Amino acid sequence: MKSRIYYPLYLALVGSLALLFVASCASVPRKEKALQVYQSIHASISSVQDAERLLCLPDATTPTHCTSTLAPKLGLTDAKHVDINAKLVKAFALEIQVGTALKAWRAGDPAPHGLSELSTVANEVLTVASALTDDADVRRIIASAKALLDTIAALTASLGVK
Amino acid sequence: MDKAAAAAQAAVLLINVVGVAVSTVRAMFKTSGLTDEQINAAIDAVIADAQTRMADAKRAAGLD
Repeated sequence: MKSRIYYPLYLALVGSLALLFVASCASVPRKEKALQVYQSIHASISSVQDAERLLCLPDATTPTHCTSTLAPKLGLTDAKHVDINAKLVKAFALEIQVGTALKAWRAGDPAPHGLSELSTVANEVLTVASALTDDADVRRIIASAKALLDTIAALTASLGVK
Repeated sequence: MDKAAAAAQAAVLLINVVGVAVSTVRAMFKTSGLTDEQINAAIDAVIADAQTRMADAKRAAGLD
């Protein structure tokens, strides 16, 4: 008799646990999470640009030339400055492409195009920066490029796509 | 404990358990309040800054 009284309670407990399990697996506001990661991607690329600019100190009238005396000592020649910025142009273009795709993204859609290309560019920046002499500014560029790689992976994860 | 008291206790427990489950599920589905339009506007703001920075990078790369 007692077990018959508690039967609905057991049923409710099992049902509630099942509901909680389903809820934990269910779609969360993925696009909103993706927005935060996308903002982090932008911050990482911007940070690479800022750190490189700080190290190079290009003049407004000659933006392809580094005026800093430290830059050549660390291996940041004008050619490398130009090379890094050409990669940054690609990175920003891809970021814009991803952002445009993200705006139209809906649950169930694949990951926005451009993420794998962005990873490639981030790795290229990392390679160029890693070849420079170890210095606080150089480490900042490297750390930002690494953070960029991490956030690109996080964007895909936040959307729940492979 | 008589039958009626046990049944009442079971009913109260049941209501509490279901209440907690429902609250948890609602919390899981709750967003910070951003609508799709607001999310897209935030993405647009990021894109606008990226365009400005890309123009700077183009100049530094001698591509402008």
